[in-house]
Amino acid sequence: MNTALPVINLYAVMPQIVLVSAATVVLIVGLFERFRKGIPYLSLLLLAVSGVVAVNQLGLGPVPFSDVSSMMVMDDFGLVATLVFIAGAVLTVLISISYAEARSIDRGEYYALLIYAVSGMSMMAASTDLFTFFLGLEVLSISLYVLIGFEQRDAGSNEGALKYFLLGAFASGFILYGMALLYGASGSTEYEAIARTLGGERSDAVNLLLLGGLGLLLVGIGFKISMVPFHAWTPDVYQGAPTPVAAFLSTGSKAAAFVVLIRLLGSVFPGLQMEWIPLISVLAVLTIAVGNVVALVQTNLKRLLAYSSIAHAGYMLLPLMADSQDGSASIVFYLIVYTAMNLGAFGVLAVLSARGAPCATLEDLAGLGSRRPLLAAVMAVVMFSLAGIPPTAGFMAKFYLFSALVHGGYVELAVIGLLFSGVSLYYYLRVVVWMYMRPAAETPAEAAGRLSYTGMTALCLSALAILAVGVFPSELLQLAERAVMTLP
Amino acid sequence: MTELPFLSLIIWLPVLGAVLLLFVKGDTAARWVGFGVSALVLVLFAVCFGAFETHLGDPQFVERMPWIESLGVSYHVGADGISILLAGITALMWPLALLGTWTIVSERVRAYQVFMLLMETTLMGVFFSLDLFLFFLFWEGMLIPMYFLIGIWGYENSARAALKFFLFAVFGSLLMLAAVITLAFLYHQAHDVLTFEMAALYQLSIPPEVQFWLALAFIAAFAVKVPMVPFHTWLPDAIVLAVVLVKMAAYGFIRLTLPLFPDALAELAPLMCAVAAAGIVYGALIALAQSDIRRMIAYSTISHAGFVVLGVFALNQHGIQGAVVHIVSLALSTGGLFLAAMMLVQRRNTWDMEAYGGLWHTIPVFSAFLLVFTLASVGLPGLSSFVGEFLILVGVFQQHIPIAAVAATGIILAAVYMLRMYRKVVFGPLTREENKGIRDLSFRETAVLACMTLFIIWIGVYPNPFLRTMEASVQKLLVQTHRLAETPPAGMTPETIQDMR
Repeated sequence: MNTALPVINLYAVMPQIVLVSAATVVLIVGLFERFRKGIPYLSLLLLAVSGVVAVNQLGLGPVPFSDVSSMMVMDDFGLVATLVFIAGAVLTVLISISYAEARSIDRGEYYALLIYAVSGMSMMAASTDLFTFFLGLEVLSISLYVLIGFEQRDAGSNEGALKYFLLGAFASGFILYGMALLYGASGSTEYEAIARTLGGERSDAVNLLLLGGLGLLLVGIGFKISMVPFHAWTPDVYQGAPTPVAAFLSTGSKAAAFVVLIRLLGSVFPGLQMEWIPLISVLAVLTIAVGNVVALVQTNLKRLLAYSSIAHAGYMLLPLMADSQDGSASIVFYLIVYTAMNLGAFGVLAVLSARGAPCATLEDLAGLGSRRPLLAAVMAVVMFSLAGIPPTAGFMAKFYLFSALVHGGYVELAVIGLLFSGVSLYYYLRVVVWMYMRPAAETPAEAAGRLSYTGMTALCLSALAILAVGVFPSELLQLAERAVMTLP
Repeated sequence: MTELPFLSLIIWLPVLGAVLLLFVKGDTAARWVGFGVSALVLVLFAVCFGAFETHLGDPQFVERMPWIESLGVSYHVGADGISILLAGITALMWPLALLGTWTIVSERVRAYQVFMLLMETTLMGVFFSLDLFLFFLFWEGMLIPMYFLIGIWGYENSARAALKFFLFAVFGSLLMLAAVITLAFLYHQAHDVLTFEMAALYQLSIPPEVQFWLALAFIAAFAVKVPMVPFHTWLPDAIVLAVVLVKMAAYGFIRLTLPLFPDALAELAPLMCAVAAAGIVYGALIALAQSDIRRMIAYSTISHAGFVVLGVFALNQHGIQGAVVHIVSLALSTGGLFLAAMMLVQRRNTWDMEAYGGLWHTIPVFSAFLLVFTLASVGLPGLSSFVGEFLILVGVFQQHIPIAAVAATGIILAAVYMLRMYRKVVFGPLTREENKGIRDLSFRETAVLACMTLFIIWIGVYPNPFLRTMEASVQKLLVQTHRLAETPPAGMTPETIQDMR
């Protein structure tokens, strides 16, 4: 009897390996006090290296990780997602530098955890097995628990961390239990095997197990993307977390969960469409409605952005139902644009509140247009983009998303989504009103003096990118389309 | 036809100007850049207009290139007789408006010029787009400069007004967006090609009940901006841009609603006419009750906008030509009226009619110009509005006599409220001390108003060149609207679209 060792293809998981190593290097270098100032730049460099690795693999896939069990796969979908995460992390590091320094949280662990989180997200995106998915999810979640509570002396930060931890632990529990049920039904945790079970003849008992498993998975993932009714943590955690971390949380971790959702619903559970389509459509509409309506009355900026991010998650849920390449591509495109927009919005707050009192409420923005013209212009671009007004990328993203939805035959849902996005204008424009049409307070909350160069660079880059994609979306659209082409 | 991409230059030159403005220091320099760029656009437009062939009904100066291929969107611009007239009045009004508000806008001058130029770009884009997606992009993109113009340089309560306007406008546009997507989807279903070409979408045969809903969505978007009663409540707060919006929205009706949904119009057109006629009377009656000059002009605009819509939905040659002429004339007469009023208010700082009186004795030049604009708004024969209103009423009389009769009373009411305003402001004894030392118009102001007066008289006395310019295009439009002939020659088939890619 001879046992053949499975052939393992390390090349297929190269981006993840590079990311984990990068995080570890940052962690170790961070131990030396004298390198403290250099850590963020080292992180940027290493993130860039992993980005280059991922770019080089584009178009080569799909390559499975091993020949016996699939576990992970290297395909354009996972790679594009990884690139989006890396870009998000780069922007987060840039807006973190002055913020972290001013609050003395600029320790090596901060940046190391950030990169660990990216590696977890990347793992989730590339996984083709529930186990690797869960592994990635936990790497991401644990890093986030710590990052949210990183401002140890701040009560809000602690409160946020505890809330996210407790609810996150529950969500993980749900996911694990769902995985167990799916394993019970199909005898495997591989996506392919589960899909096969779904495709074949199934008894009522198996059906029940599959349905239960899917339901529990949706609860867990719904928590991560703050889908109603699992959204309640979002405003509290965003408000408490250090602002750059909130930026990262609202974009990266949400994007990672969406990527998994596309893979799961698109290629594993099409067999249960009759069951999950009505469910998701109701939850998506609820998410859009709750996010947009509650955001109307917020005066705290981070809470406002939290509800706005809930609403955006709702939009992104919609095309899942269209069940087409177009639908998935439109989600990927939306995720990319959304990452740039939300990081921009939180970034403005982070840069403003780096020193002095934090910029927390709408009133703190009064007169920003004349006080800090460039920063206000960035915020205005971001707000118009979030609202979906041309010529910004936000419009293109919404257009593509809703046209995929209409092509899938869901005109009513598209109309509902569009009308609620009209409601959203009110609160986005309120930000602009405060910046440009209200006189400044006697003593502005934020400290005078120069704003952080790195932060401003990041913000101007994302504002320019938003405008550029708004006018010339072709390249990015093609990238999104190519990414979903490899999905089965 | 020509080598230079004229239309693109006209559309994008103001954006270049806006970028240039970011590097300009000082208010006066900024004003000169803004004025200079818009004057350059006017010159370009004049060249373009000179080369325009009036006997052709098809778009001219066409430029077309692929843009977002995966969505079937192309950058496709061109001008036909209707769009060239409306673009022309925009090109003319812009330098005049910037010159007229030279000193009126004294805060954040640079930003003002930037937003004005950006708005010119979006307006030109709307008029010249031949791709529905491109049209929507400009249509919606215009909201941003408008929002800032109303919010920052508007009058009291302007931030609120800007928000109100924006929300109204966006809800309309979002419905239109849903309809646009649906149209492209229907075309895709029928021909398996994804496209937003207007000419192609015109050929689409849509089931009447679907048409009805799509038409309603489009009408919602345009009716808000016209503004038609009952979607007019934002206007009195944001009058500054009313004239511009009337132009845009009426163009939307003509360019899209008529040819896209011919079957639905059979049901909707009489209804629209009735609503428009009601709007004419309603606006006039409220204008009658105002003592604030600005609000009076606002409500008179609502009334005039009713005429425009009425002409469009008369669905015949006279009505539509009248509507276009009336839009052009509105820009001149109402625009002039408002500009003159702003000049007066800059001197005396109040919009209240009662605060004036006897101005004829102190500022005769101003009073003379105000008289021209007032009479033009009333519709005096020999001045521009008469031509438009007359043609519109002729058009409507052929279709709905009772509606035309109601609408005609609007002209009488207009005479009442307009002349009442003029009497209160200009005639009567000079009772107030503040009005005695008031300055008359400067050379710059005189030049601006004189220029507008010239055009008002020209259109009033000899409207033929204007009517001839659009005649062929309106005929072509009506052929499409009434589906009179089989596929018109310039119609696009799915095959030609594929060839062009």
